[in-house]
Amino acid sequence: MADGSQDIVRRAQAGDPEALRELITSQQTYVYSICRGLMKNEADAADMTQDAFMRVLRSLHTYRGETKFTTWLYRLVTNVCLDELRRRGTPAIALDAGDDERSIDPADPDPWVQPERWADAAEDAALVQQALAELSTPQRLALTLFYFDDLHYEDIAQVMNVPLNTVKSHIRRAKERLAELLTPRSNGKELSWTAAR
Amino acid sequence: MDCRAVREHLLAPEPGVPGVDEHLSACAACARLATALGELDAAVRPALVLPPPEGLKAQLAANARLDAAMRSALMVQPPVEVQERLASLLDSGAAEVVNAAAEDRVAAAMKAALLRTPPPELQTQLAALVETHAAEQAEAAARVDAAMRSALVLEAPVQVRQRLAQLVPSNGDAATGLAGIWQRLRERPGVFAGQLAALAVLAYVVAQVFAWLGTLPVVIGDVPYALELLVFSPAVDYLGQIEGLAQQLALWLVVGAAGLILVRGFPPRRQLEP
Repeated sequence: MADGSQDIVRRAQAGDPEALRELITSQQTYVYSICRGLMKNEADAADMTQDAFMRVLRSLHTYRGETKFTTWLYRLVTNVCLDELRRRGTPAIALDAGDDERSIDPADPDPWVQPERWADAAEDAALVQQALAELSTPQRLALTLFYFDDLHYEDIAQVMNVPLNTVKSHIRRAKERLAELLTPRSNGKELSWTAAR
Repeated sequence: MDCRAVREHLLAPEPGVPGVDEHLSACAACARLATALGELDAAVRPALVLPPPEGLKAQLAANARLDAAMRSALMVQPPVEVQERLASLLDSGAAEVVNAAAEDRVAAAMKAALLRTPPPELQTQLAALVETHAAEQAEAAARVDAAMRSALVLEAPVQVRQRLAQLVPSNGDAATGLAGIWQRLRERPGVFAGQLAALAVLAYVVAQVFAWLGTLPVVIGDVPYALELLVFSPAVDYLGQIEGLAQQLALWLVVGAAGLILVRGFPPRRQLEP
């Protein structure tokens, strides 16, 4: 479960050590995944995960229950990572920005006519990692949150602080982009995501 | 639902969208796409939802233990005595505040409910009632004044009136002419002497003033011009004689005042009116 139960949260707010441990254990995969998607490398993701949990432990008492705890938590983690990127001088990331990449018409026969071709390629984890690296930050973050078990589009919109339709657009574009990148090209190359850009 | 809409849905699926299953069962291309997207999800999900490295897990657990230890060390529960004091303070203070606020609200509500402007007819009746009441009060006050006056202002008894009448000489008893003057002289010789002295002083002063005026040349004509002549003429030198006359006048005034004090005493006694 991605969502820590309210009972655990209340006990953690009261300072129960067992609840704090349980909260971190249940959320560390999701927090790390968000950090991994935003920071692009494992070392930074690990640092940000630790920093984010430190922030969570310090500000846990400010959670009032107006939203789901996981929504509050993932928003906080996202902000921690974006603040760090901004501190490092990385160009500002607008999570509500549209893609400047080529939009793929779902009715386009390539790759939608033969989806088995990119579905087969998706079995290669390395190729999938390479394709994911080509996604924009908002697309990757939206897709990551989409794969969390109990988050709805509305929750993702709250985490990313973007409109609901923007979340859906990010997810569709991300999958389209992955399908395009994983589709073998006619020149014999298995994958051509670098040429496709 | 057409293929385009179904594919849009498959890319960002939502529960409870009607017509999707029917389309997928009828459209082989969309069915193949749904299968492929399912495989894509299955492949991408583990690439995005990653378990943290073991070292990070251990570090996070250590952080949690450290945080819990710091919380327990820093966040100390107050002693029972302090807790009891705070509880009693909360009970009494909060109750008073709540009661006061409630009373204020009730009073305001009652005031708003009870204090209403009466209708114009009632206002007219009340004004007339007030005027009537004021008139009755004025009449009652006049009656009280009359009663008080009749109770307090009493006619003197006959004996008192007779005694008072003896104090006042009747007109018939008053002597006239020289006989009357002689009679008053005998009754009040001091007064007579004082009046005589004052008369003598007055006569002397008048004689002195007229004598001085007799020394001045009579000027008939333009009075301002005459005053101007007087101021700028050698006659101003005569003004120096006024000082001696003023001293004589003051001396005689002192003599008159001494005579008056001798007759009436000091301070002067008030004479009763007959």
